[in-house]
Amino acid sequence: MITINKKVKISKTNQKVEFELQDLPEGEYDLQLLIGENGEIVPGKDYNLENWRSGIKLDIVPSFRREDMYGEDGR
Amino acid sequence: MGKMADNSIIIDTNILLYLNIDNEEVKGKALQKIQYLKRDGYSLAISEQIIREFLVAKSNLQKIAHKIDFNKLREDVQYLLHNFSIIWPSFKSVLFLEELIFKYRIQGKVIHDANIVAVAKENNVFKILTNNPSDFIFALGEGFEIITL
Repeated sequence: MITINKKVKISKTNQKVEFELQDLPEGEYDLQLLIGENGEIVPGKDYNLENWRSGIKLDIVPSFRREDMYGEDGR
Repeated sequence: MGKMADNSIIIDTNILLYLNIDNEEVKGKALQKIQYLKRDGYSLAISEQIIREFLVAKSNLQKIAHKIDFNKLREDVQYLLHNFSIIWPSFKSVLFLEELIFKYRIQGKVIHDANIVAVAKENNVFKILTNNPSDFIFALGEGFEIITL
């Protein structure tokens, strides 16, 4: 987890925010800024795939082939 | 053609379902492969069709388990949007699909697989991670690399 702290002021004449990210390793990053209705920062949800759960426990896992997933009518 | 990076790879619907289902062995295997791909610099992509198929299969599984949870389905979409690039069909991808069907005499439900390939090709993606590699045999002739778990 990387946290970037930066105070920004958004106005009609200043709607661009720049970050210096040169110390980060090369790769793809998701930047997310969540602002509530009253202007407060809303904590973001962790969408890490490790935590992605269905609540469905299957002992035998289907192959999920399209041959089985679709009907003869194409749907 | 679209403009995805050369190192992009399509993550097939079955892999997404394996990542999501609470079966530690299957989830662990899929997650490890995804982590290796990310470590090796691959950009993970899914098409609109894959999102749709995931939601159909997932809601059907919920139905079987007698607990349809629309909040979970909504959350699933967010997980997909946060972790994968989305590629889209287009007029050109339909022409690619037509070409594939004619060239490889594809018929029936395999046309759904062929559409994954057509949309991937249109978006300049030539790798697919799937647990059902035999469904994409025809794509090898189009220069695709089919990777499995």
